Amino acid sequence: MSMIKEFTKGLWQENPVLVLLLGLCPTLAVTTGIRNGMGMGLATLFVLLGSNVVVSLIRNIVPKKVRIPCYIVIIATFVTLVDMLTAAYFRQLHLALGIFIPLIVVNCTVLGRAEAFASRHTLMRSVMDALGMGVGFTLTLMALGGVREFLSGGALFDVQLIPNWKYEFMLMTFPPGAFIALGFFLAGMNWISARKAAKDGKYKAPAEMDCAHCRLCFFGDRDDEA
Amino acid sequence: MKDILILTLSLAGVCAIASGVLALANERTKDARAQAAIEAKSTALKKVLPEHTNTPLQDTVVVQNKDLDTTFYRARRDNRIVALAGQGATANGYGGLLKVLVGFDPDGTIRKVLVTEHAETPGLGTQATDRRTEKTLGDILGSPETDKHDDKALPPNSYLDQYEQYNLLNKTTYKVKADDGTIDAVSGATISSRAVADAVTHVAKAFETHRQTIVTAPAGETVTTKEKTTANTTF
Repeated sequence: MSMIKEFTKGLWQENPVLVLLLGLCPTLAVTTGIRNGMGMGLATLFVLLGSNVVVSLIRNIVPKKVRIPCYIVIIATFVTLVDMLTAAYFRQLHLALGIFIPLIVVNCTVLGRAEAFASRHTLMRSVMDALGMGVGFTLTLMALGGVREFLSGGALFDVQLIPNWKYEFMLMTFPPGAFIALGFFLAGMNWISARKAAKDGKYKAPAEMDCAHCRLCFFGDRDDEA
Repeated sequence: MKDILILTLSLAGVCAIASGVLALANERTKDARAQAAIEAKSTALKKVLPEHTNTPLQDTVVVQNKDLDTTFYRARRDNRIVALAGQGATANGYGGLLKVLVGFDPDGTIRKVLVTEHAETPGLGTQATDRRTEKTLGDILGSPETDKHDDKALPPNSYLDQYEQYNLLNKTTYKVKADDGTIDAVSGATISSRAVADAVTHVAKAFETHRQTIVTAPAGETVTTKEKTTANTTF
């Protein structure tokens, strides 16, 4: 796979939230607004990049049996580093991200990429993977946050798009609203992927859902069977 | 046996390097972080206090009690106290520690309540803690001359603003309505609302008990409350 491909796969094909379904806890918890989504996404991107680099560098040194604890230590170190550095030199950024930073330790995306990718690939590829996954994570969180923020209060980036929208759709601010919105996102994602696969002729529906085996309605390609 | 030794040593090695890096980073950023925290505090004090000529950050009286300490900052003009700010803390926030800064007149009337430190859930608990400027598209697209937002003024927060009708001396216990109090909690953020009320209660109790000392004591004085302040910690 080319370097570009390592980057772009995180955006769509192997999107950490929508395809791998990793890091759902921060996804559901903090995407009440597009700004929060962006903050969480960028903070995760920093940590993901740092941990992927180090894990890739030490992948041949650390014994296989203790690799997971080592990765956790590395990730926790980076999270604390990011926390301290932003507190010292980027006060504004720290005020905006401060709450999200400790949450990154428990984000499965970071550990998942360290174990599934960085521990098996070279430094350059791991960097590209971390950037792609991080950007994909950020964009997904922003999209989810944007939908929730708009539906709950008619605003985006804390800017009231529709003046005098006083009716608050509170459900969307709560975690159940995040589940519902994410459900629609996943359905949309699957629908687009299935359509694309069908166009390429690669799509094969599961037997129980395949219209070719069912006479109830007239969807599906029956010519294949004939 | 040899295997175990290698595994232990390599994990210990990784941990040692990690703690070394963190210790170094902590040492290097300690001063800068302290500086940033002081700056943040003096900005917050400016926001809750009226115009003054002294440095309230250095003109403090600390009230110690069994719970977290309460610090009072005194704002003076021509050596006369024009207003005070009390920093109260509670550990009962949804994300643990929560600190409020209550600006009030010497007679106890609350001027402004500001949450200076918290770890509440973004979007939910922060509705009870953060003051955010409400912006509309018109504000962004409109010409700068018509911009009515005043950078110095605190943006409103309907939850925090309701404290301004109270007086710290007349009312020392603040409770949300769910706990038979008078404060309207933010729906969906009862715990955060409760924590803010709890922290304000600490300030009020400390000010009521030690009013004389707080107003007259020299800067840097520390007074101790013997009995435990009974705040509304019932859940």
